[in-house]
Order: sequence, then structure tokens, then C-alpha cells
Amino acid sequence: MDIKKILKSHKAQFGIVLAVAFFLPMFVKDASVTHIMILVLLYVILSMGLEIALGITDLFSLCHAAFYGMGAYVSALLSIYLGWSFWVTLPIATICAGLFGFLIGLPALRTNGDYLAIATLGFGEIFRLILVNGGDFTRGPRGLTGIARPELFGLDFTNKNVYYYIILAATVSIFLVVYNIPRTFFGRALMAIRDDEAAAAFMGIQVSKYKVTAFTLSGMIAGIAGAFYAHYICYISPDTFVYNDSITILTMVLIGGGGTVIGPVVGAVILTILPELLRSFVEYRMLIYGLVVVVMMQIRPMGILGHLNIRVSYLERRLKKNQPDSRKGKEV
Amino acid sequence: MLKVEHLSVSYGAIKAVRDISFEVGKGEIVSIIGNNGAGKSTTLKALTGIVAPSEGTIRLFDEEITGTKAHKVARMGMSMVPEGRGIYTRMTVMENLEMGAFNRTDKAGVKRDLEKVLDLFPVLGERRKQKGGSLSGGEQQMLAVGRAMMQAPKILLLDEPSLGLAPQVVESIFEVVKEINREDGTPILLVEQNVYLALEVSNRGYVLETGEIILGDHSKNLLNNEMVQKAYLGVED
Repeated sequence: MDIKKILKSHKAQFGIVLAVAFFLPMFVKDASVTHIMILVLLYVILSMGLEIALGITDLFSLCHAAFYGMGAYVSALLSIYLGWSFWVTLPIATICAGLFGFLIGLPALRTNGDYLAIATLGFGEIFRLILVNGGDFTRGPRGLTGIARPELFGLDFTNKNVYYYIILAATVSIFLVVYNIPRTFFGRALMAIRDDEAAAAFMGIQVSKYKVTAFTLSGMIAGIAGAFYAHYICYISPDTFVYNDSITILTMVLIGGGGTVIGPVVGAVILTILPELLRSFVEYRMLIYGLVVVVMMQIRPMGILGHLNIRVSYLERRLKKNQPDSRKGKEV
Repeated sequence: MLKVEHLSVSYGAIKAVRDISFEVGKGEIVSIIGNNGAGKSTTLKALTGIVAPSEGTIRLFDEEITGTKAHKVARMGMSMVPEGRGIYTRMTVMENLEMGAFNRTDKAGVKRDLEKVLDLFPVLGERRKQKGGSLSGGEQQMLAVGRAMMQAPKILLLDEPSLGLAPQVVESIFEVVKEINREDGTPILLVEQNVYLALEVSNRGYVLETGEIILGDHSKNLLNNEMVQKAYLGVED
């Protein structure tokens, strides 16, 4: 009964957020605001991708921007050189970014924690260098220009609102997929690996397979965001997909609360809007941003929504007064 | 059921376990006792496939499993209660138990085993929605044993189940271990520092010292062995 109640409330929350996201563009007349809303959605997708690797499986990945870039570049190159439609290049970009994730997942089997972070940091840098030194093919640091906007049923994709709704649809689908992962066998295995790798293997879970799959999925989702980004901005360069962006996405997941799926969404929304709000204090922007991160890590190291489940069950017990608070006087 | 011959395990240049042989027969409880650093946990790591042995063979149900990966050994029916319990701290008690049945397809059997576990450890039922990490040490140990039972083990390995627990809790856990053995005839390999307790519940025991087995006998004989009494039971003469 209680589980149902919580699910219900999750559904209600989801519905409210979705309604706001859906109707918001109708009240927004300023194109720059719509632009920020699109960026928010892109970062929500990106943080969903990282949530699978970092939040659910605790694989410290510092090359998420490289997956993002892989999706963007594959889609843009196919569109520029072969003139393929966005709806063809999107799935190909997704698969390529997934393959990239798979390849980076392989060393993840040998390293853990900090070492994995350093390894992925290196991979991200290699990816950037390849883009910069790609000669005429990737046009090096100048980047790719003139990427076509998507076309569908004669809809006008130069209209930011139309683009917003397409990305919203993608974001919602991806969110629903990631949201349900912890409820599946697959997600349970990932969570078991996160909590105790050896103990997961003792349950007959093939740790290597699941870790690589987590990285692959993480890459695929970032690739989707990349493709949408490339065909939205219509210009991409290696500068967009550097280490800094990986850190930003990482911060979104950690600030929101890794492993909660909803947390990273909150983190992405806050950390995309915050720098925009602080635009008037240009010089102090990064300072305030950094301060927020430090303060957050001090007061809520598990993230804004971290440990939400425990809090709910605690409240539940409080509400049912005849049941004693079992946490009292217990060693943990 | 489990037969280990001339097993050696090295970490680089350091030999943690040297040429040990032992076996666990049908329906037996066998204990390996020894001090810190004697190589007990390393032995279990080699058995479960976490580390690869440098020499020797391990046979489980007449099949060689030397160097087989941990998840495959687990799927063959070897179930492990790891040292430090290995609870999934951020998953609920119920989810922890369900993980035990991860590879099982017999739904009726899983349900029956779950009832059995909750029957043996009622406290796990009360805590079913709580996160594993919020349990006390004793409750976590019960959860680890319960999770292993959910695997429907053909052989059960326990690594220092008494570590850091209150005596009454240890006793009740050992009671359950004995009961698992009695009810289903599940052979059990018990690795313990608590020598007296281990020899009390087991049929046979081996004494491991600096990576070598120096004694192997019926537990009763070991309890009366002068050297064991002196070194491990603190009996003065």
C-alpha cells in the first residue's frame, strides 16, 4: 500500500513537471529564454546518461563530454558530407557514441574509483585532440558549420519552440527509461555492483558485462543529446566537448543526488539556469557557482535528493505511530 | 563435494597460501581456523574465483573450477557469505534478499526460500524496506546469511561470520548455520578466528598457520589437541 502511495506521488510530481515544461513555451516570448530551456533539456538528457554510469553503478566517468561530442560530430559529419536527414543520423550517432562508451567501458573493468576517473579523463582529452587534429575532415579547431536543422512533416525547425518540443519528447522518453532502470533486473545488478562488487559476483552477476553495458548506455544517451545539440546550434567545434563540460555534468549528477534518477534532473535544471541568472555578475559568476558546489557538498554530500527513499520510509514510520522508530539506538 | 589439492596463491612475490589440501564432504560442516594473516580469506577468495590460484586444483562436485570466474562458480551452486558481510548498503533489505535469487528461475522455490529466511530471521521481515546500510552489524550478518540462502546453495562458504558481533548474535547465527546444514544437508565451509565456536559446530577442522595447513582432524580431537588448546584456546597447563 505504502509503495503504491509513493509511486503515485512520483507520478503526480512527474505530471506536474511535464505540464509546466509543456505549457511554458506558450508564455515565453523571449527567444533567449527558450534557448535556455532547450539547453536545460539537453543537460537533463546528458545527466541522465551519466546517472547510469555514475549514479546507479558508481563508475566515475570524466569523459561524458566526449560521448556528447561523438554524437554531435557523427551526426553533423553525416549530415554535411552525405546530406543525410537528421532522423537517419540521430540513430547512427547514438550507436557510434554507444560504441565509444563500450570501448571506454573496457578499461573500466580493470580500474576503479580515482583510477577510472583519470583513465576516462585521458580518453576525453584524446577525443578532443583527434577532433582538433582531424584536418579537413573535422575542420580542426574551426569546427563544423552549416549543419542542417531537422525536417519533419513540414514543421519549421528553425522555430525554437518546435525544436523545444522535439527535445522535450526525447527527454521525457529517456527519463522514463532511466527512471525504470533501478526497477529492472539489469538495474538491480548495477546497484549491487555499485554497493559491493565482489558480493555482486557471488550472486552470479557477471560484473564485467554489466559495467560495460552501463558505459555503453551512458554513451548512447549522451550521443542523443549531442546529435540534438549539433542540429540545434548548427555549429560545433571541439571547444564544446571538453573536460569542463564533463565536470559540469558530473556536478549536476552529484549535486542532484546520484542514484536517485530524479536528483540529476533537478541538478541539471539548477546548474543550467544558475549561470544564466548570474550573467549580470560576470566576474563573480564562476566564484558563486563554485561556492554553491562547495556549500552543497558540505551540507548535503549525498545531493539534494540523495537518500530520499530513506527519508520517505522514515516519515512513513513516524506517521504510523504504533511502530517504533527502529533507527533509534541502533549501531549503523 | 569440494576438493582442494596442493593449492597455492600468491600476491606478486608473496605467497599467501602454500600447498594446502583439504576437502568438504557431503553434508559436512568443515572449519578452517587460524590467526589473522594465516591465509584463510585468501583461500576462500581462490575457491570463489576472486583471485586465481598460482598452483593446485579446486574441484567442485567433481568438476574442476580452478581459475573459474566468480559469477560462474556462484551459478554452479557455491554460495558465499563474505567477510565484512558484503551487504548492498544502498538497497533495501528485501532487494538484498532478492539479489540472492538473481539467477534463479523457479519462482515457487524462491518464494519458499524467502519465507524460510524470514522465518529464521524475523527481524529481516520487520526491516524489509530499510536500506541494508542502516542495519546493525548483527542484522547485516543475518541478511548476508539470508541472502546466501536465497541462492539455494549446494555448498555454503562463510568467511568470519562472528567478526565484530555480540556473543548472543554470533550464537544465533551459528544456530541457523547448523540448521541449514541439518535441514538440507548443505555442506558448509566455515572460516573462523573464533576457534572454540568453529570447532563446536563443525565436524572436521583444519588449522591454517602462515599459509600452510599444519593440522587436520575431527573437531572433537582438535578441541582436545594440546597445541590447539595452547595456541588458540588459551588453555594453560
